[in-house]
Amino acid sequence: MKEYKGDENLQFLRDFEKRLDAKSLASLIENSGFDDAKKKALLLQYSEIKGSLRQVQDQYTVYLNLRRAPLKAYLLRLQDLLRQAPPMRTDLLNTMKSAVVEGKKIQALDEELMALLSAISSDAVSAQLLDIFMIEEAPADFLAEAYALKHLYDEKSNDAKEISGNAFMPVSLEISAATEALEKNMENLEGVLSAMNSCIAFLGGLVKTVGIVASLT
Amino acid sequence: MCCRYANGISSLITEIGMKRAGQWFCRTSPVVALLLIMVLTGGCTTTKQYTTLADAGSAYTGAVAAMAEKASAVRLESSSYLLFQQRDSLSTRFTGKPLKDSLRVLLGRTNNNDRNTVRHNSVLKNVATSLKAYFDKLGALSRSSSPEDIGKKTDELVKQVNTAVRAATPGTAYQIPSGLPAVTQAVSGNVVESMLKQELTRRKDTIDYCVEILDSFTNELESDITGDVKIIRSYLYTANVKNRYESKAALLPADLQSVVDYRKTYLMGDTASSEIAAAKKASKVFKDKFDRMTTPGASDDGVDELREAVNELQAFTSFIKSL
Repeated sequence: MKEYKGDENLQFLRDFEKRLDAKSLASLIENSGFDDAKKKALLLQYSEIKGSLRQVQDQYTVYLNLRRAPLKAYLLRLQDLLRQAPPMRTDLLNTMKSAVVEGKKIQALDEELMALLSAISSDAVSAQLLDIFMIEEAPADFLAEAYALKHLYDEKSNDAKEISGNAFMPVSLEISAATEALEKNMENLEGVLSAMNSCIAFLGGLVKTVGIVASLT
Repeated sequence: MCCRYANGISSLITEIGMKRAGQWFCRTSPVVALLLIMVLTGGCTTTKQYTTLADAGSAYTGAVAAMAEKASAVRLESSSYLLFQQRDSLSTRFTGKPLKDSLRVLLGRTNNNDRNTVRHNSVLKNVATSLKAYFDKLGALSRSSSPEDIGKKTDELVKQVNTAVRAATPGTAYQIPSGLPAVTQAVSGNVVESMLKQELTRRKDTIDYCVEILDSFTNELESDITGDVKIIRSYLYTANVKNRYESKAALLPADLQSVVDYRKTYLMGDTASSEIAAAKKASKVFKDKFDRMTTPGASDDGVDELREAVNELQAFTSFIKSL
């Protein structure tokens, strides 16, 4: 079974685009009974969606090929610094200055980097417990950046959930219908049972009648 | 085993011939004919396996629903603690109106963000719950006692048919055997098996797609929950252990106990991550088994593994609710 994570998001977008089959849509629109203006508007909308999907794929490809690796390296470096001892304090403060700018570059659907962002932001806002600030407390700038980073994570996490929630919509009706159909199957089974009871009663009568007829002939 | 019964029924029908009696039998009882067709077309996987698969699907989706609910609760708790922390931090930098304005903006922005999170988690919970309802119905169907009752009724019906055939044509040699496991058990088992097999095979693509979405949900919720639980633990440790211990004020006996309790909880470690990892492993077992059971020529093994996965996912659901 296909795992849905990391760079497979790109494959997901490609599959989605393929599912938007032009021929099926054209035939649906043709048989829809809409007037010509409406048909034209729908086809235009369709080509716009296709265009947008291709654009998103291009952007995601650029993200995967060019941006993701340095971004991941930056996040790992920051995470490592948060676990270091007081001598590395200055390095951490300098690295932390660009945390929000770098964090904004993360694609919300990139589960691995999102998990890193979550871990970093929750460590950073708990600066009072970090060994690196054991001798000297975290400065206000660091804390402000940490809170902004946590806020950024929360926003991106909401974006990712919105996409996942919308991805379910196309199949939600089918799942409800399938659930109802299973219930119907149960009812059908119970119906078969009831029909058999009737059959048995009917046969009981038939045997009696046929038996009488047979004995007469 | 079921195939053996199916073949048994098939050869039985051929052997008996059933010419006159068979035509009469089928005409008289289409219900029995339908059941026999279902026996002959039934799969070879046992109903028990489908029950376990449905249980695993239900446990998996139930675990995701529980995670979605808990994610909202821990988010609201952690963001409240962060609000307190930021309030303290802002109080050292601002006073008067600027402080009041900053706090108002901070509270409004946090509320807005949390409201969105709760809404999204609620959507995720609904998705997981609707899939759970599907697997629950599947489980109910596989557990239904109706097929067994139908098997018994079939046997009764066969006896009645034989009596009727004998009555209609005295001295006939044709007789459908009754009271044989080949008739009653095969009918009762395969009715549901064929239904379940057909159902899952037909829905394979949709369920695969839904499972992919649920996997994404699980990963998103995992990042949320582990991050928020860490913030809650850190805040409680700071407030109840660090600040009290470092305070110049004398510690009261109640404070001492509190320090001991929170310190113990904090240092015992966060088990959420390992529990989530175990649940993810169990969900993988479900997905692999589902894949195997819906692929032509699939093997029937792995039910014990699947049952373990069900237990694991149920334990995880209890754990996540206890957070």
